[in-house]
Parts: sequence; C-alpha cells; structure tokens
Amino acid sequence: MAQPFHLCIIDDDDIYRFTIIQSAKFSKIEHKTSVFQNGEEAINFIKENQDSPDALPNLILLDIDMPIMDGFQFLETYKTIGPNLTEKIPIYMVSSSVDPEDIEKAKSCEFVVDYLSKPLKSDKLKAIIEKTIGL
Amino acid sequence: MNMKDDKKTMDDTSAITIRDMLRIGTWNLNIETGIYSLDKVTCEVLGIPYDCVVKRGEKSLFDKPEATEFLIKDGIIELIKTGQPFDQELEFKTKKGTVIWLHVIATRKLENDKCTAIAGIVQDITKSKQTQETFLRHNQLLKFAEHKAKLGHWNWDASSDTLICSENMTYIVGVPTDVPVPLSVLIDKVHPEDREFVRKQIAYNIKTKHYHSFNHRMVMPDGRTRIIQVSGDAILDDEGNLTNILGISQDVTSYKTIETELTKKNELLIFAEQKALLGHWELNTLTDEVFWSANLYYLFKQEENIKLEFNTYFECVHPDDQAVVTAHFAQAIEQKHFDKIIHRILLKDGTLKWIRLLGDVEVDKKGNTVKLAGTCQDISEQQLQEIKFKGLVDSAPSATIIVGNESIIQMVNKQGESLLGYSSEELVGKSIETLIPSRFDEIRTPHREKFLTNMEVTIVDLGEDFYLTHKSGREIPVEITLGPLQTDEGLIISMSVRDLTSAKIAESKILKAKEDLEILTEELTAQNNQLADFTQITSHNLRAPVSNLNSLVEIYKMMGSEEERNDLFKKFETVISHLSLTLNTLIEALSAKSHNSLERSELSFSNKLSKTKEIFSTEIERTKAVIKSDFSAVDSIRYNKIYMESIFQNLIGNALKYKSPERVPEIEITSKLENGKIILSFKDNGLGIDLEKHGHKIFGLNKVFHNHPEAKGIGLFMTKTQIEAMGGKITVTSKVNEGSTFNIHFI
Repeated sequence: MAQPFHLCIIDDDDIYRFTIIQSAKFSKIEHKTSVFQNGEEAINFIKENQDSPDALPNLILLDIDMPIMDGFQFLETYKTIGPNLTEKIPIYMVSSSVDPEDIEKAKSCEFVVDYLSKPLKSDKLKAIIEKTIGL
Repeated sequence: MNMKDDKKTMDDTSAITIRDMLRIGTWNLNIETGIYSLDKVTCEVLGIPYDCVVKRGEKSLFDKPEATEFLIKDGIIELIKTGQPFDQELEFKTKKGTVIWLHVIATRKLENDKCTAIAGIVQDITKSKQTQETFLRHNQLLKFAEHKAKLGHWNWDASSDTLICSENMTYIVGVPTDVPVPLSVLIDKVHPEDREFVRKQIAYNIKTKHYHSFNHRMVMPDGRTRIIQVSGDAILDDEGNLTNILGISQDVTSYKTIETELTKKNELLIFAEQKALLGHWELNTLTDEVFWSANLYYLFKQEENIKLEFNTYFECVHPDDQAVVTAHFAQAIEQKHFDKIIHRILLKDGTLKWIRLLGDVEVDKKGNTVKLAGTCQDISEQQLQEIKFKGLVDSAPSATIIVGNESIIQMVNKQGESLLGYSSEELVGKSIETLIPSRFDEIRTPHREKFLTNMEVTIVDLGEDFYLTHKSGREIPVEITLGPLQTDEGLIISMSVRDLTSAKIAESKILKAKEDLEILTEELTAQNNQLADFTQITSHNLRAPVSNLNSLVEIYKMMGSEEERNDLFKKFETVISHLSLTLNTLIEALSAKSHNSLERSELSFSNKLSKTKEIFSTEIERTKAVIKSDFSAVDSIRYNKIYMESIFQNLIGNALKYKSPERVPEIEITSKLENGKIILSFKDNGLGIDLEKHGHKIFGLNKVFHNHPEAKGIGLFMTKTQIEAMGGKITVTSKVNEGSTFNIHFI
C-alpha cells in the first residue's frame, strides 16, 4: 500500500475520539487519522478532495448525534457525492443510541456497512480496519 | 152498342168543338195500306207535325215504352181478328222527352166480313194520371209511416158501435180489413187484465164526448206483450151528439221501456244524491229562476213546493260567509268561471252545515253569462274530519307542513308558524318552494323523484345540511321527514320539520369540547412522549459517558507508561464530571416531573427580569446588550418561584450566550393574554437555530446546535421540563442569523 490507511472519525465527543485514536495506535496498523466535530466539516473536506482519491479516507466512523449536521444529515448530503468518488468509502455508524429506529435507519442506508454500538472496543476497531484493507 | 140505333143528340160541329176542348183526337188505320190518318188534335197530342205520315209497324216519331208498344201491337191484332174493342191508357214520350199518358179507344170496320180499317179516338190524360200517381204514392207513404210507427187509425161509428180500421191496424190487431168490426171484438184483443180498464175508459170518453188518451197492454199473435197508446178525437154533429171518434192506436212499448229506464236512472240519481249528500242546482242569472234537485230541498230543509230564487239559498248562508259567497257569485258571473267554494250554511232550525259548491257557467252567443249550474254537497262530515286532521297536525310535536298537489301548501301547524315566522294564511296556497333556498333545487331533483317512486316515509338526506328560509330571510337548519298519503284528492305529503338550530349549537359545543379534548389528548400524549423521551434520554445520555469510561479503562490497561496513564486520568475526570452533571440534571428533571403540585406564589415578571439582569450584569455590560420589556398586558402570575427564575435565567442566558458576533444583542421580553391565558415571549437577535434541521431535538438533553465552547445542552431541556411540569408549554420560532423567539404558554 503506497498510502498509509486513512481513518476518519466524525464525532463531537472528544473523549470518544481520543479512545479511537488510542485504539488505532494499539492495532499496530500503519494509519493516519482525520477527525471532524460534525457532519458539515467532514462533507466539506470530502467535497474539497473528491478529485484526489489519495487524500480521501479509507474508512469513516460516523456518529449520529452531533451539532450543526448530525450523522443522518451527513449521509443525506453524502448521497450526492459518494457515487462520484473513484473509490467507495465504507462507513460505519458508531453511536450510543439504542433507539431501534436509529439502528434501522442507519442500516438501511446504502453507504453504511454496519451500525456499531458504543463503546467501540479496540479489537473490534482492528477487525474493521483489517476487513477494510482486505487482509 | 150499335151507333146506327143511337139518337143523334149533337151536330158534327158541336162534337168537334167539344172534342177540341177535351183534347180528344180521332184517327183511323187503313189495314190494306197500313197508313194512319191522324186529325189535328191527335197530331198535337202526340207532338208531331200535322202532315207527317205514320205507318203501321214502322218506327214512329215518338218514343213508347216497351209495354205500350206491346199493348198496341197485341190489342190491334186482337181487334182485327175478333172485334174486341181496344181500350187502353198508354204511356208515351214526346220528341221533347216529356212523358204523356193517352187514353186510346179503337173499333174495327168490317167490309164483307173482312176488316178493312180501324177507327179510334185518343185523349191526353197525363194530368189526371199524374194526380192519381201522387195520390197512390201518398197512400203508400201513409201505410209505410203507419207501419213504421206501429200505428193504426180507426173510425168508430156511434150508431153501430163498430170500427173501420186502417190496413196497418188490422195487421197489428189481427182483424179483417175494410169491414166494420164490433168494438167488443177489438176489446177482446186487449190484455185480459186491462180489458175492464179499457171498457171504462171508452165509456167515460163517450160519456164526456171528449177523448182522453190511455194505454193498455195487448198480447200479440206472436205472444209478446206490447203497450198500446190510444188517442183520438170525438166528432159531434150539429146538435152536439157524438157521431164518430177518429183515433190512433200506437205501439209505444219501446218508448215505455226507455221511459221506465229513465225513471229508474232518475231514481238511482236521486238515491246517489241522497247517499252523497249531494244535489244539483241551476241559476238563471237573467231571471233569477232557480232549480234544485230533490235532494237539495232536503239538504236545505226546504219544502218541495216553495218558489225558488237565489235568496232561498243566500238566506241560508252563514252570516260570516255571506260576503265571501256574494263575491264568489259575482266573480263567477264576471269571469265566466265558477270556482269551487266551501262555506257554511245556517238553517232556520239552527243546523250548521258545511257545503261545497262546484259549478259551470253557461254563456249566450254574445258571451254573456246566462246560467250557472252545478252541484252542492254537504261536506260537514269531511270538514269535521279535516278539523280533526288539522287538530292532529296542530298537536304534532314538531313543525308540520301539509303539501298537496303541485307542491302547494295546504296546512301549517302552530309550531310551523312559529318556526318559519309566517302565519298559516300567508303560507296556505303558496308553493313549498317559497320556503326552500333555491341553491338546493338541483340537488333535490333526484331525491324528489326517488321519494315519489318509493312513496315511503323518508328522512331527507341531501348529503349536506338542509335549510328552510324564515320569513325574515334567515335560514334555519332543519331535518325534514316526508310522509306520503294517497287520498281521493291526490297525493298529500306531510313534512315534519325538526329545527336543528339548538342541535347545531349543541353540535358546535360538542365540536369545541372535542377540540378541547384533542388538545388535552395532545398534551397528555406530549407528556407521555416526554416520559418516553426521558427514558430514551436517560439511557442515551448515560450510555455515552459510560461507554467512554469503558473505553478509557480499556486504554488504561493497554497503556504501558505511567506518564501516559496520568494524562489519561484527565480524560477520566472530564468524563466523570460530565457524567455527574448529566446525572444531576436528570435528577433535577425527575424531581420536577414527580412534583405535580409544586408550590406556587404570586410572582411579578418585571421583578424576575430585574433579578436576572443583576445575575448577568457583567455579561450584559461586556456585550452591551439591550434588554427591553413590556409587561403592561399582564405582569403577575401564580407560579413556582424557582422555575420562574430558571426560565428567565436560561432564556436570557442563552440569548446572551448565542449572540451574533456581528450585532449588539437585543433582547425583548413581553407578556400578553390570549384566550385568558398568559403568554411570555423572549425575543433575541442572536445566531438563531435552523429549525428544519434541529427542530425535533431543540429541547433535548445535551443537544447543542452551535460549536460554542460553553454549549452544554442542558438549559433548554431543563426549562422545557420545568414548564411542562407546571402544565404549560414552550414553543420556538427562529431564523439562522436573525434570531429566535421563545414563547411560554402558561395555563
């Protein structure tokens, strides 16, 4: 792999972001991380880099509850961008919500690979990254 | 007779003159030559020229019918042969075509026993022949007439007590013709039961010398019994003695049958009139002559032989109805049309009756009314029924309208009068359409047809509210029940009208109550939702920090260096402090929700505002915020003091916290009364919130909509929880970059 694995975290909870970054480190997989506090920031970043695939993340961990633009609103906007990208980005929704409606809604979205309940344990994160890389 | 022996009583000249006068011509026929010699008169009678030669057997100059031709030919041959004299009345036709009758007489002349010539005379008898023909024809006509009329005539002779009967009569009675028949023979022909009566009648007629007609029965030869009418004229001599009676006997059976039938029918009519309490009348408007049928005398309790005039009737008319009756008759004469009229009559004995007059008007050639004729019926019974019916309708609990032919209102009860504002007199005779707003015309048509087909009691349902128009023009909501009744006078429809005005009011009350209930349900649902939300929030807002704690613990275990672990403790502290804030908030919210009866006291909005301003004084000074207020509409409220302070502090605090960096914050707090309820508004010109995006979670716990360093997402959640705990609600309107307005609705 020419480029290191690019993990993207979209979440307003800084403690959560910290734990994910730490867990990623423990996975011993070479990677880089980009974080966004809400959906809007992430969308802006993807839009800016949609013509340079190397800059785009390989995996997105998306929260539901966020200020400005929440996870579902992000997915709604992403619909117009995602299909144009040369490489499809697998998106995992990671939330503390146990609302069946949220889970159902998340799983029904075509870009979402799976819905994961917080806390996201480090071995689980490692497994997802490995699955994404195709190891 | 031999001419030679006869005495000569007249000279030849005189004979010729007489012959001329009698138009008698002479002629002779020479047998040998066959040539007729005709004298001047003969030629004139035959209408031929004097010098013209007529030869026996040749076609003559005048026409003869075949019978005449045959009689001449045969008669001449017979005369020549046997000497039998020729004496015939013969028909001829002149050249001009006129029919003439000639009396022809001829004798033969013998020479040496041989007939050499025939001599004769001819006389024009056309005139007498015509008279005879006419007489014969008349006689035939008389016979024919007698026969047709089954009539015979007779002549009784007093001296012999015998009768000469006409041919037809002899045929009818069966006695010999042209022979005097004794009276007794004729009486024997009369029906046995009538003989005595006939004898007496005749005896009486002879005695009084005046013939009175009478009828008797007679059994005919074929066995049928016929009725014979006998009439006659007594003939007296100069001394006044009865000599003859000329009479006529006529078979009047068929007339009698018709008469009997007529009598029967008349009796039937009288009977029918009596049964129907009906009579007929005629009034000659020119002479004031009045005719009544028998039953009318009975109905008016009048003697049958009184002289009738218009007043006979008019004096019986009830005093209260006399004006109407007078006007009615005047109108009938004027307009040549007699309308039905119903009025009362008050008879001398005090009897009150209702009568109905129907009539027709007869006019002369000039179009003037000459006669009124019609029927008069005692309808007291029906009128009584009608009064009963009206009483029944009047006693009906709901407004009732009786509609007759062609939608004409016949009756309206008291309830109907008061519902519609019309008097009965104003409505009766008018069309029911007067009462129905025209916008229903189209929609009613199929319903009306269906009703007239089914003829069942029907509640009118047009699929929309139905109205009748009050006299004032106001529309009344109604429910109408139609009831059909087929009577002798046609279809009658009873319309029972239920006034729905009060029902409508009640309905709107119910609707209002329903709306109120809906609002209440909405509130209850909202409260239920809050509870559900609360559970959701509890798990959600607790799960997030707890899962963070879990992750941190996991990381802590994996971390090798003590330094890293120390750094990690700062994270633990952040999570724990956040968790405890969340828990405290939730505990507070729970306690709010569990206190339905929070302590209330009289609070002043302006007071609370100044207190809040004091708390935020530093912030207000720093931001130069302008806070305006208007509590003129309402300034005081009974509320929980802590919650009220919380509302003011949270909303003003938020307004200051989320101010626009481009504007000096302006906050406006006002109160107003709506439907008796207090509404408190907090309006700012701050950042505003995109309600399309965040509207559903604006009052949620830990929801922040700005990347504001101080945003914790607790304030609005708590404010809402507290307001709702007191039974009120909070709403928000907002525009990004323009500002937000929070409205608190107290109860």
